[in-house]
Amino acid sequence: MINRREFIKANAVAAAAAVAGVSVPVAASNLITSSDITKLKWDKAPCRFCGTGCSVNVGVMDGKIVATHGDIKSPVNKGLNCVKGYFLSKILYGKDRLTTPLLRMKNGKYHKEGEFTPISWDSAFDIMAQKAKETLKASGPTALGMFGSGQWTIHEGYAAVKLMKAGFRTNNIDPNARHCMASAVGGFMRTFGIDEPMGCYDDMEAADAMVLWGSNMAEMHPILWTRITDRKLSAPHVKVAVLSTFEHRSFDLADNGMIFTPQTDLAILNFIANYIIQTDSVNHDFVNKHTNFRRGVTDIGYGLRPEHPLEQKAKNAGSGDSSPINFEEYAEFVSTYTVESVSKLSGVPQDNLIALAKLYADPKIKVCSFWTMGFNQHTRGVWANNLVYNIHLLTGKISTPGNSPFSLTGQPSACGTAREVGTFSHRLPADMVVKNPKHRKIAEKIWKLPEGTIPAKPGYHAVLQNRMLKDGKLNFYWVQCNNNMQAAANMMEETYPGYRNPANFIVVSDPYPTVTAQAGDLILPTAMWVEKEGAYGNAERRTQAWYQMVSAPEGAKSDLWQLVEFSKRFTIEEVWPEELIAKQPEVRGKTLFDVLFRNGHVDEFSLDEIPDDRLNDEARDFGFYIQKGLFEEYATFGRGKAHDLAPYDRYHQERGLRWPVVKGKETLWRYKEGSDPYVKPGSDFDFYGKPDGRAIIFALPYEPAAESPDVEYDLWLSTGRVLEHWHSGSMTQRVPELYKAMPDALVYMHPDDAKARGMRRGDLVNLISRRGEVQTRVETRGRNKPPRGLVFMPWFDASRLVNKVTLDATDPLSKQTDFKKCAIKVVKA
Amino acid sequence: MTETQPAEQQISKQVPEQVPEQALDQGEYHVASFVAHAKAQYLDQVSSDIKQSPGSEIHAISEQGKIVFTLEAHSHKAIGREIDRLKQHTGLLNLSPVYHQFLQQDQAIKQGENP
Repeated sequence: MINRREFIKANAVAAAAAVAGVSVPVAASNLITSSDITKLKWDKAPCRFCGTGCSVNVGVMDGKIVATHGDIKSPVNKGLNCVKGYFLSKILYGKDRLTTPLLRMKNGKYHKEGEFTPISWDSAFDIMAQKAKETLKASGPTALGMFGSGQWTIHEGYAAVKLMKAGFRTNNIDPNARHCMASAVGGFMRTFGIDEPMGCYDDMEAADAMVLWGSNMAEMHPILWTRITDRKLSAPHVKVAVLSTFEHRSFDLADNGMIFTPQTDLAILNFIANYIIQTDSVNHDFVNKHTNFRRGVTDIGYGLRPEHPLEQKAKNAGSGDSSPINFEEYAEFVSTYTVESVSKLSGVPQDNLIALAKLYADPKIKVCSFWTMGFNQHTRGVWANNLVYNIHLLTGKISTPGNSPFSLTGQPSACGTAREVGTFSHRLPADMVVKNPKHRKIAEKIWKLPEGTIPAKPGYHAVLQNRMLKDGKLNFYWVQCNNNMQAAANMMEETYPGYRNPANFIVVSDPYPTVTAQAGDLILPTAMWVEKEGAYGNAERRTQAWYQMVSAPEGAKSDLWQLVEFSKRFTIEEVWPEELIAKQPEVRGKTLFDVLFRNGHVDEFSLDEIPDDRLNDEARDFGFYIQKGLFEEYATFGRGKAHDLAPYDRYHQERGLRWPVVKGKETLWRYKEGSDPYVKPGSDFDFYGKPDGRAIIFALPYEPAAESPDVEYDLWLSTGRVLEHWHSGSMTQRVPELYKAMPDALVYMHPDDAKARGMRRGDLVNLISRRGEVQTRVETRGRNKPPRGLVFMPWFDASRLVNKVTLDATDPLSKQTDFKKCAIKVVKA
Repeated sequence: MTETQPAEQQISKQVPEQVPEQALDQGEYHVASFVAHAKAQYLDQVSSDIKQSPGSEIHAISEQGKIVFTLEAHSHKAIGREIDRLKQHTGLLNLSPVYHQFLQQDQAIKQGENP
C-alpha cells in the first residue's frame, strides 16, 4: 500500500516525466486527477506573474492552496513552470498581508501627517468619497485620477475605465503598463494601425532563427526560453542571436551574442535594412503590394518637462508626424548606415553585424524577433519598434509561421487589460481613442450614456500624473495593483513629493504594505489572484479566465469589489453637470453604481449561473454575476471589429483562446489570408488596421540618448529585472525564499571598471547622478556581465531604490520612461 | 479496490522506503518535481550536482538532455534554496519546476494510512 507522501511524490514525478516526454518506470500520469486520495480540489488559472500566460493547476485543500503544477493541457507552458510559478501558492500567504483599511490619522481624524490607523471599510469609503467630492467641487474632474495595472483582471480594468472615464468623467487613468509597453503599442499603431503581435508562440517551433533585441528571455520569460531552447537543440540549423548592452544569461544559447553601446540599436536596425537593400534581398512583390514608405520627423525631444533645456532645444518636440516617400528615397535614407559606420558607433564587430543581417536577408530563413524593455524603455522606443517592423516588411517575413516580429510583455494582462480594455489615458476599448468623436459615441452607446459623457481630451499619462501630483493639479488619486513609488523614474524629484503634497489625497489598494502604500494616505487591503474570479490576456492575444478558488483573508477585498462598491457612494448629480443629466433625465437620482453597473448589461446574468459550491464573493455581494456581465458588455466593443472575443463561459472551459475568435475559432496569424478571417479574399496579406491595407515602412534615424556619460558622470546606468524579483518585487519579496536568493540589488560592474576606481567586489559604493544617489555593493562576477563603461542595477529592492538616480526621460511619442540609459558616477562610500 | 490500485502498487516499489531525513525533521513535508535541461557535454556534471542536493532523487534522464528529478524537504524554503543553487550551473540551459505540493503536520503524521 502506498502512503500519502509516496502518493504525492509519485504524482510529482509523473507530472514532470509527462512534461519532459520521458518515461519513468511508473505509468502514473493519470493519478493527478484522482484527487480523492488527498482531497485536493484542482482548478486551472493563468499564472499571475509575467506576460507569458502560463496555465497553472492549483490544488486547494481546506480553503488553502497546498499544491500547484504546470498545466500540461496548456499550449503555452505545456506543463512547465518557472521559479516564480513554483512559488505562486505562497504569494497569498505572506506574513504582512493587509486585512484592514488603514488611514493616516491624528486625534481620531484623517491627517496628512498622521499615523496609519485601522478603520472599517465603511469609514474608508466615507473619507474617500468625501475627498473625491471635495476635489470635484473645487477643481473639476481633471483633478481626479487613477493609476492601475497590467495585473488588473480584464474585469477590473474595464470597471475602472468605466468608473473614471464615464462616471467621474476624467481621462486621468493610466496603467503601470505605460512603463512597460507603451512604446510597443505606439509602434503597432503607427506601423499597422492595430495593436498587438500578428503572430503567436507557435512561431518559435517554426522559426529557423531567433533574434533577441533587448530582452533577457532566459531570465524574464523562462518558459518561452525553454521552447526556444528545445527548438534550437532539436533542430541544429536553428540560429539564435542575442543583442544587449550587457552580457546576460540568454547569451548561453547564442550563436551570435552582441554587446552594443546603448541607443545604437536604432543604427543597427537601419544597417540591416540597408544590407537587405544592398544585397538585393528585398521582397519587392510583397513590398509593392502591402506597404507604404514614410519619412518621420526627427529631433523630437525626450519627453521631459517642457522647460527642460533638452525640450527647449528640440525642433519637433513630441511630434509623430511623417510624410510619404518612395522606395528609392527610403533606400537612400538608410544607405549611410554601412557596416563600417554602424560597427564603429555600436561597438559590435562587423562580422557579427553581417551575420545578424543575413538572418533577415536570406529568403530561406524564417526569422522571429523578440523584444521587451530594451526597445520599449527607450527615448526612441516607438521608433525602435517601427524599425524592427521595417526589416520584417522589407523581406515579407511576417504573419506566417516562423516569421514573426514579436513584442513580448512583462505583465500577465498588459495586453488583455491595459491595451485591449484601454486603461490608458488616451484610449477606450478595442483600440479606440478618446479624442475621436466617433469612438466616444460608440462607447457611450454601449454604456447607455448620453453623448458628451466621455471627455475628449486625453488625460494625464503615468509620468505626467506624478508631475501633476507634485504641482497640485491632481488631488484625488487612487492607485491599484502596482508599486509605482518603486517603479517610476526620478522618485525623489517627482513621485514622492507628489504623494506627500498636502493638497492631495492618495489611496493605495494593495495586498501588502508596499512603499507606495506607505507613501499614501489611505491603504485598502486587497484580494489577489485566485481569491477572486478573473481573466487575463497574454502577449500572444490569448484570453484566459479562472474561477475564485479560495477566500481572501477576512477584510481583504478585490479591486473589482472596491471599484464597484465605491461607485455606490455617488449620486449622478454629484458627479455630472446638469446639462449632461438633462440629455438623459432617467439617470436623475440614481447612483453611479446604478448607471454604470446596473445598466441592464452588467447585471444581465443572475446568480443562478454560479453553482452553490463555487466561490464568487463579488457576484454574491452585488447580487448578479458581475464578472460575466462586465466581460460580455466589454466584448461588445471588439466583436465584428477584428478584436472578437468568445462568449465568456467558453474561457472557463479552454486554456485560453487567441483573438480574434471568429465563428468559435481562434486566430494564430493575423493579416495572412487563410489564417485570419478578416483578410480580404484574394489579397494574400491585408494589414487592415490601415485604411488601404498597407503597413508602413518608416525612415527614422539614429538619435542620441537624452543623457550620455561625460567627464563627470562617466558611466552608463542600465536598470532591469532579475528572474527572482519580477518587476518591483512587491509580491515576490513576500516570499522569503525569493528574497533570500537575491537579497540586495547589487550594482554589476566590469572588473576593470571596478579596479580603475580602486573598488573590489563587495565594496560599499554610491551611485550618483545629477538627480540623486543610492548606496549599494559592487558585484564584479555573476550572471550579468556589463562591458566597460556600463553598470547594471536591478530595481526591485525597496531599501536600494535605484530610481532615485534614473532620469525621467520618456519616449515623446509613447510617454514611456527610458529606464535603461542615464549617466552616473560610482564612488566608494 | 480502485482502478488505480495496480499503478499504486508499482509506485510503492519505486519510491524509497523512507523519505530523506531532512523531510522528517520539521512539521511540513514538501515535494517538488523538476525538469532540468542540460547541454549534452554537461549532462553528467549537472546530474551529479543534482544528486548532491539533500532530498533529491533523479527519476529519468532523456537522450535530449532532460533530467526529471524531485526534491523533498521540510519547507518551501529549503527547496527554493536548492533551486537557486542548482540553476547557477553553467551547463544548465533551463530548470523548470513542474509540480509542488506540501502536507501540513497533521496530515504528514498520518503517513502509512491507506488512501
